[in-house]
Amino acid sequence: MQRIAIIQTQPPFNQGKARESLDLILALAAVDHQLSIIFTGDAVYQLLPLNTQSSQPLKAFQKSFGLFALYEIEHCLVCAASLTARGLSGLSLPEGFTAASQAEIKATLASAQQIIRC
Amino acid sequence: MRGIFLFINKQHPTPVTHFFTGGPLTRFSLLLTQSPLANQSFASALQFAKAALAQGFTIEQIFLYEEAVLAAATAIDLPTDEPNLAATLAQFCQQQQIALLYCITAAEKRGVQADTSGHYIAAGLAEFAMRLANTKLVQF
Repeated sequence: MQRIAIIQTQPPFNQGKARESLDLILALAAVDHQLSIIFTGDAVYQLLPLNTQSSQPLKAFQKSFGLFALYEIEHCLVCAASLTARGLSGLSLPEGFTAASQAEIKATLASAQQIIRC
Repeated sequence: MRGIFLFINKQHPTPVTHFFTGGPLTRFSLLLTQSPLANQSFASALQFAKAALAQGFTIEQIFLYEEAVLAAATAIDLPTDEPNLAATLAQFCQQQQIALLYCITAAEKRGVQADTSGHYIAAGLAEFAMRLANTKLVQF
């Protein structure tokens, strides 16, 4: 199967975009494509800790990030510059996610056979 | 701009000779995620598809996801002076025998009734993922 890079660009709750792109990621991984997920721009807000006490009626889809290891999604890069620009450079990332420089992100994109922008 | 995002894959595991250029014959996958009612993405995809076929390339699939699944809602009744991009695309795909698929989960979530005209094929994301293999993806 193919090496596919998925660029996440959307914040978690403004639209349904982040939720539906997660479904897409899991479907692609389920048929054995090799995925690299890149969180950049406002998508880094998807990685903030969830406020489980919140009364807002929102689906906590971020819990499914925990499934990435099960689906053998090994490359989860978070744009370090995007974190810094939002004052989140100290954010502890979910397990398996690593902060990446723009050079690393470029290299990941260059080695991908397909790129999907979400 | 959330426009066209094009990436050409560098490896083509099953090279077939292009009758015109002698190069590998490309098969395309098209992914549409925006509403057919709100912007030009369907028109752009259609334009791309026509140009690709005219150049001798083939289109493996056109897959509708997220807001694009509204195209499969046959009950939508547009004013006559508005272009019906969804119908135009469906007609084109039927003429050219291109698989026009929509994500059934995304459609059901939006209350889109299953299309019975046969123009749109209900599918899952897994089908998109499987058809994606050995094609070049263009996103609209």
